[in-house]
Amino acid sequence: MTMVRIGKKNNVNQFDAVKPQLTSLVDVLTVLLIFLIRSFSAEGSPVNPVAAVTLPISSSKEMPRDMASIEITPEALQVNGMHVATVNSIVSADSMQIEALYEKLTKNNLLAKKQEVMIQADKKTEFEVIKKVMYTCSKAGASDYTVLVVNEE
Amino acid sequence: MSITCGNNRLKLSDMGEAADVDVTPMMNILMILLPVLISMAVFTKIAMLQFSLPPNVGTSLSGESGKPKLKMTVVIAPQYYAITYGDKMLDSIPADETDKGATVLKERIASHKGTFEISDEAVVAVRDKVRFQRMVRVMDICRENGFVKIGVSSATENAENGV
Repeated sequence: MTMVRIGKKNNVNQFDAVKPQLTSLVDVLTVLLIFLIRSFSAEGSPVNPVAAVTLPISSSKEMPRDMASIEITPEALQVNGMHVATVNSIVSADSMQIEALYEKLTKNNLLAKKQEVMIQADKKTEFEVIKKVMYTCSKAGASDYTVLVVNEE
Repeated sequence: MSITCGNNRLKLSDMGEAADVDVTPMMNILMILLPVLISMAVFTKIAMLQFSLPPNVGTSLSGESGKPKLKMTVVIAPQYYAITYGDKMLDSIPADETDKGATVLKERIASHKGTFEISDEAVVAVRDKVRFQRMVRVMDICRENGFVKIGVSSATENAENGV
């Protein structure tokens, strides 16, 4: 008789244990959802950073605009994704002007509409390379410069 | 034990069971929404930082002499930062390729700011071997101190001949 009772009681407890307590899980998911909705950006960035470039970190929050882009990866210099010169050749050259870059900027009239140029440089790039790029851009007609950065927040 | 509620007599156990909300539909919605939002989330925000070459920073002229007004210049060398104003060196702070010296530089710029004739324009002069991340860091420090127009120039390698 006693054994039968215990059996019935156990059956009831097993049925209760099947029902999971979802409240805490819903709490976590709701917090996650709020966080994700907050970080959701409806407007996409007009600029796609080059994969080979690790951008420097900055506190700037200014949204990038669409303009002629010069990318300085650890190995190469590119204009709008097209290879122009190697970084080693730029460093070893005595001239301040990078001829290949100058030709690319002037032939394609990249600075004709806006005299702005965006430099996407790797954070480990030495200023020597950036200086030569800026000098060449100024010779090609650029007056305003922008560097692409990652916002630290 | 029972509670009288109008004409109905409810057992406490009945009330407990009635309070259980069925969260399954909400869970389903969350399980669909979460992967969608995670796949669309922007975890790194891209921004831009504007600067120009020093002659374009500003063309302010001194009223009395007609000469260009002096601007604060921050020199970034591999081993130090220097704050100069005209041909006077106001401060020199030890630094390296890490963030060392950046906090001190920020404080020193803030303390000197009141003495500058132009308090919204600064020039950042960078030595050849300095890495881009440090240049951006100093430009940030200048902006945080209220220098909205920043010019970037090259610093001479030989300190004896002026920075």
